Amino acid sequence: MIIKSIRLKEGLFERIFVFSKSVNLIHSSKNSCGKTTLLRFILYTLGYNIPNTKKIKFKNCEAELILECETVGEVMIFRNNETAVEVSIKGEKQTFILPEQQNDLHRMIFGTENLDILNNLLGAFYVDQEKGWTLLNRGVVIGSIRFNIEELIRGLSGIDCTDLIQKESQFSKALKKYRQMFSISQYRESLEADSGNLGTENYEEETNAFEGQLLISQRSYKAELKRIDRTLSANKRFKKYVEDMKLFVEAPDGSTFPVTENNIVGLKDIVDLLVAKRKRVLSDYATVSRQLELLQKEKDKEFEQIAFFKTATQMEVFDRRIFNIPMNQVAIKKEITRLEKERKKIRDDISTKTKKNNSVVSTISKTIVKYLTELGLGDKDTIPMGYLFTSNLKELSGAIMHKTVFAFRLAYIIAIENVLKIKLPIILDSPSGKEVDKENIELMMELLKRDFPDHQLIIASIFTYDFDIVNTIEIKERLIETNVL
Amino acid sequence: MAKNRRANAVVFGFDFQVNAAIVLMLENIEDLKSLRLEGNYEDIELELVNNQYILAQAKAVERASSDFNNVRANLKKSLISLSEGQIKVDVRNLVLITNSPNPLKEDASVGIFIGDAHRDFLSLPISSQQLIGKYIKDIKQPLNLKKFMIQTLPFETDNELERYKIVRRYIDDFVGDLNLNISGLGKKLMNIWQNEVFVNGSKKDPDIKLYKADIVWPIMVIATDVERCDDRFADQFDLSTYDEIVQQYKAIIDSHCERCEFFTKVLSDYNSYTCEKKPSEKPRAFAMEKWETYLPEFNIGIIEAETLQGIIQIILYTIVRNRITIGRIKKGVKL
Repeated sequence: MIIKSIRLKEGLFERIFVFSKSVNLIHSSKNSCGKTTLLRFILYTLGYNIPNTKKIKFKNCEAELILECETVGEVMIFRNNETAVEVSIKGEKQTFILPEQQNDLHRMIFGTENLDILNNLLGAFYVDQEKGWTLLNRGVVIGSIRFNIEELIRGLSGIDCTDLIQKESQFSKALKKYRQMFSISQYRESLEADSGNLGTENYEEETNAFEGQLLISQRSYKAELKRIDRTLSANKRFKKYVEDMKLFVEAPDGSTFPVTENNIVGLKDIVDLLVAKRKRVLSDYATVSRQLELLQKEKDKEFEQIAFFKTATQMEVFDRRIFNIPMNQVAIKKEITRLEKERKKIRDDISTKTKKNNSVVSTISKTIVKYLTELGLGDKDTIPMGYLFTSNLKELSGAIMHKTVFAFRLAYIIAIENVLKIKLPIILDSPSGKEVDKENIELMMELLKRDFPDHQLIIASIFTYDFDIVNTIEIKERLIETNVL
Repeated sequence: MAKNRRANAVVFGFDFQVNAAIVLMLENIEDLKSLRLEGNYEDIELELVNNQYILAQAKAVERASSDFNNVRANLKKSLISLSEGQIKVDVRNLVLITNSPNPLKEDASVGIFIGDAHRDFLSLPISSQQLIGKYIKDIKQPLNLKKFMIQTLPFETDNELERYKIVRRYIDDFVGDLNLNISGLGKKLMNIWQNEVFVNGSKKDPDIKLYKADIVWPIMVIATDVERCDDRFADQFDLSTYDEIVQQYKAIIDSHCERCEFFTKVLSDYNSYTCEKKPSEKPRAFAMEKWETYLPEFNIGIIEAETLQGIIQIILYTIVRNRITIGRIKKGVKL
């Protein structure tokens, strides 16, 4: 992939930067002129969520980036806000909403659908001046964009660990909650020790118990009402049934009379009794419901901290609430330990699945050993194969860290090229760090010349570098300086 | 503060009116057709089955035993109001019911109104009669003094036990007359009736009346509650077993006692059941002896045989008992 040009416009000012397909040096003799901003503009236009630099707000600018991609040929990307980019390929325009469609955009540019790869590409080809030179295999690339070597390797080698990763994420969430609970329980304990008595510890308990009783009563009244209604209906049916039979009864004195609801012994009485009972239960139900409503209102008010302890400050109310939450610190701690163990086990499983018998791992490792050796940082006997996954950065300081980062990044770019068949540009912001001497920089540049002649190289620096042909983009006072009027 | 006192006095006055209505209602329960508070004709109106009315003016004084400042003004107003009421309907009695023990504010009659007194005009001292005569002199169509009565109902203080003690006594006597031996019935009835009469008084439409049935049926609801175990039945049944069965199977028991198909069958069987025991023991004997006949009617699922037996016996006894109780109450109040 080659970045051909970028046009930037801020208000009345506009400038077009044209890049060569080999070495490009964004140069200024002074600091803070806009070199980093230009690099970040490129990434911002590529759809990444990149933080502004101090002087220019990206969202107030127009940026138009022209790329040459292995996958789709020439691509023009236009971005003038934070929420979308407009992409033109062979005259056809398409809009991508960001960040929702960022992966769709990158899928098109980089030619892969694998999210594990897409999420970790930037960390391979871009080295930020702030965080970049300390990012080895895991951590922040820039802003909120992260890099993770295991993820990239899984992507490159087609390993699917979705289930395990989901589990890991569940455990992490649970752990986060339990840790918060633990801090609350510690706070609660300190309250207990400090105040001795918060006076109303039983208030909430009592209210809840009372509410519980009322709810039970309400349910039982409701059930009784239903039962009475069912019985009334059954009696009504019975009455109709008897009336429909049109029975006549002969009394001992010989007189006859029809059977009606009024002369069936007990029928009218039971209906009257049920009606009275219903009225009574309904009245009890209404009373309980009213009480519940009042209680709920009281609780709501209390929740809004309007009426609860009128003299209490928000902090006091908070303390009381915390004080009334029953918490077992020991049990919480136990659960945290258990979850940590479980999570570690899952992480180990993911790691094993990622690393075991993986040719991508061995290729990257070999490349790293090769470059580190060339940069004078050891050899295959002193650098273990698993060094790719090291998390021990403490022992790396100054120039060693700088060169190690460089070696790792180059190894990633080669591995990605092997799989995706694309040549990523190499974007280095201020490679001449403070602690790195000229000799080391030359060593690094020699590697680039020798092994990456077909990759576009974009370096932002106040220094110059010894390349045969260099397209130098000079920035004087400010990045965008031509007035279009 | 003044506003508060006035508001309290109004509430107190209405509470007295409600309780006075209950007392008058109980005194006339046999002949009562309906009751209305704040009706078309008076503070309290009792319509009787013969379509005659008892009209009552209720006058309450918050500090009744020491404050007699307004009693004569109250008497005068009542006489005017009752005179007007008398013209509109056929009246049996005209009553001034008050909580003041000295409603005429005179030495001659102060002793006769202590407690709950019922004094018709002719039983009053001459001086009292003259006082009343003086007040009605200017009324165009004065009330018929033969029908006039001053009734006192002690009703004072914020302590409910004290305030309602005489009302409670009226209710307890009434329950006693019905031969209902139910603990706590008096208090329950007082709460229900106070509530019913209060709600009736708060309704704007004067035609909305409280009928005798509305007043009497709550008694039957309490009296027929299966949760209450009769002493007679308790002799045969272990009380804790009874409670346990009723708690667990109340809905089933109630439904069987209240469904016509079932209770008519039971009542018919009871009618033809004969035993050599005393009539008062017949319901229990019937339940104990005949429960097995009803076994096929019960399909309650998995249940212990003993419990099922208990359920059926309780149902049979309750059906018969309720029939007797309802009959007795209806007879007692002539419903």
